[in-house]
Amino acid sequence: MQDKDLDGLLALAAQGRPQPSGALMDRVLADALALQPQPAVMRKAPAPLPARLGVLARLAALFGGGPMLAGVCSAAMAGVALGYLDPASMDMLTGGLTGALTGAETLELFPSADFLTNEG
Amino acid sequence: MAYDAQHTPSDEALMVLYANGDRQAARALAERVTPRVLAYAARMLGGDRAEAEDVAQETLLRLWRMAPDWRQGEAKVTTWAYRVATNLCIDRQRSRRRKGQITLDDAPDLADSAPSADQRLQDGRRVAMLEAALAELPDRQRQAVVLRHIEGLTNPEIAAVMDIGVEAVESLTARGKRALAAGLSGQRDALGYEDDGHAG
Repeated sequence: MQDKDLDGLLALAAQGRPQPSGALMDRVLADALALQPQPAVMRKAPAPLPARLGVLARLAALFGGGPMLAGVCSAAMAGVALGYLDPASMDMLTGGLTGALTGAETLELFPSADFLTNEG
Repeated sequence: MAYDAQHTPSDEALMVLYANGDRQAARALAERVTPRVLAYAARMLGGDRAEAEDVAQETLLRLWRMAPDWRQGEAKVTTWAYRVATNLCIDRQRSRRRKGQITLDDAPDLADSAPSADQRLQDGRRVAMLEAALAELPDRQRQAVVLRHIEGLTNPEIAAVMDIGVEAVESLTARGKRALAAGLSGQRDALGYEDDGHAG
């Protein structure tokens, strides 16, 4: 057999490549899709949406957190209490200092603060 | 970049697209690689179509598995696939030899590409005889001849597939062709070639 005949025979064989059956292609594709990595955007679970904040939580956030809000509330309540109470009844607070005073006597609680009331 | 049927990305680009989750790339790659591996495996396994299909499926399975780690520029997808298929075929050949199940009866089916029924019949007969002669070759010679002259790989590509040097590929190919010519020389009449008295 000549070389050209053998080469022709090999070329003929190269043209006659057997085609894969539909069943084989189905199996190959099923493998491919089963093993295919998912795109990064799909692989990552979506982050949970932030829950809607309640009124207290939003108020706390406004003041810089729960402890700050508690402090502000305490101060507000103290202010309301002092405003509501009759100033005369404040003797219980100041009586220790003013109980011994009578008539026109005055008590200088902040003697060094006179300059604040002076004009000019 | 998604797979675009209007353009023809390389096998290596399709691997990257597949690894990025492109389903069309998976189909395109399967349609390109499977027929080549199937044809090669069928010839390596003496025409055993069922075993060749198993080898083709297993080769593609390994391709899908390693796609995320594929590094472009290091190897061609087809070279890698032929290499895996070669190893799978060698394993099956060894197993069949142990079981004494080697047969040369079945030749791969031919695609209908001949112009006429007579010509198709003649071509089919010739190729069947070539397949039988190929099956008689030592495994390494058969691999080299099939990869070079039927699958169309270059010698360096065959060297990569067979994990040998280029010179060894040339030697195996030359010896394989000489053995083929010798095996077919007594069948010139059946092949339809005229005897001009020159061998080889």
